[in-house]
Amino acid sequence: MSSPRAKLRFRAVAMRYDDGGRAVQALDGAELEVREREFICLLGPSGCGKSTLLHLAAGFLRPTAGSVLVDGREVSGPGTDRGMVFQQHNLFPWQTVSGNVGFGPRLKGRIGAELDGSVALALEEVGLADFSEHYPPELSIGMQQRVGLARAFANDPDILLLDEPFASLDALTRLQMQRLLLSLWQRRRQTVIFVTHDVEEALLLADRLVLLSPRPGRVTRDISVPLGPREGRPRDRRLPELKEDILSQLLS
Amino acid sequence: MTRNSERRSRSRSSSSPASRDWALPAATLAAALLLWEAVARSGLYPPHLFPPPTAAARALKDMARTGQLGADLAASGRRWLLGLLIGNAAGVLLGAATGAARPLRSSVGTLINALRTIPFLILIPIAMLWLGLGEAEKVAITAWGAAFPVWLNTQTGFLGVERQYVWAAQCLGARGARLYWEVHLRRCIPYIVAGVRVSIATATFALAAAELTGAFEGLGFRIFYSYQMFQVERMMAGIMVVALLGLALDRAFMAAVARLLPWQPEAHE
Repeated sequence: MSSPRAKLRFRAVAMRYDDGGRAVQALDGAELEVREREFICLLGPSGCGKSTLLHLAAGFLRPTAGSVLVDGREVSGPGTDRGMVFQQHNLFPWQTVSGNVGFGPRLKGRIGAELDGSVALALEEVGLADFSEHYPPELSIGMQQRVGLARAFANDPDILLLDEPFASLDALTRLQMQRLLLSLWQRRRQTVIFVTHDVEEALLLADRLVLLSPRPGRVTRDISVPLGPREGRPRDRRLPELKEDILSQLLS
Repeated sequence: MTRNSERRSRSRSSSSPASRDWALPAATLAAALLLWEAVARSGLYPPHLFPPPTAAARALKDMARTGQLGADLAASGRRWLLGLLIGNAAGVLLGAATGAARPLRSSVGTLINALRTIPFLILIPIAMLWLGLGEAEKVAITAWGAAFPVWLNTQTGFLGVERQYVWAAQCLGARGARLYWEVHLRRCIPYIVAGVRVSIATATFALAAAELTGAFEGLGFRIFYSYQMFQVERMMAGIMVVALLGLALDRAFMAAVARLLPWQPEAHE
């Protein structure tokens, strides 16, 4: 079942952690393979270990059993090849918008005009060129998430890990952000794992949906989204039916 | 949705003009002085024990005219500033170390915690024995008093750094010393600022205690000496100068913080 082109692979991953003296089995025997340039959405009831899988892929956590492989090599810690967008409250409040977006490039040794140019371009792409000198708390949640996207993309990772990035946005802003994410992603088609609890969002964005069981989480279903190109999906007649179908599986 | 409607209103721009920010504090100080004056003149207490602020002001003018006030201010100011700088620098370094490394917290941190409860008055004889009766001893005592609030606050800040900031920075390539410099220390700045603010006062307490013995000039010395000479007006004048200076320094510090750290909400009260 393992294909040589797997970009990211979870092999019999178990994760147990201590929650105030109580042992919590977040994941048990989770198997998942993500191919290069694939966009997958992780769906599951809250507390099923979706975020834990993402944190394992990012290298923030180490699995208690099994292994997480990127390009066939075991993940030993965080790295710039894997970019992360969090739900919120992840921008550095002590830095301006451009300071946040330039954080990664600066660590890579970019300075001066080269750094300014790449930051300006990244902000242009997310429509925040006029807000480069603002501090994150001065922005709306939607704008903060755009900065989060710009910061992750500016560092040019191979894999993007998104942890319910649009969950706290209003419906309209969420639609705009989904379009923005797709337009940014379509240039380089990074490998994406997108965690969400919104089935429709998953159907609009992903190549493949992966459903997790309640805790201890394991992969229960793996569905290739049977819809056409992403531009046409919001109007696709099969969308409501698919949504109902997946929702009922999640609730069962 | 337009950018403007999406943009949250900037609560930072204060709604009241700057003059109103000063009006109530100034009025409060004036009222306190008036009350003091009224009680002193009421005859409730003998005036040589409880002189009115006008008498203290006259004494102050006298002290200023003879150059004594200037010399005292210069002597205390030098000790205070030097002690504050040394103590704060030590506090930040120690706090970063004990905050970042658990073994250091258990060892060095425990030691500091034991030492910080020792009253200045008890330390002064030791400092005099070891450092002599000079400026070094007074600066050392002042630094000692300034170091602890900054140490404790810096450590608290380091321990409270949110893991999502650390994670975000790690994904962007920060690790090791660079991670501490870029994330932990920056995140701690509000805590360090609060610690320095407290230390402005604790350094003053420590210096005042140090100037009680082996000093021949300085505001603390002047207040105590005036007391011994039964010059209560001069004593009160000295106390007024210390209180007003403390207030002015706190204001100046917070104004500097607001200017230098625009992202720090605490600086905008």
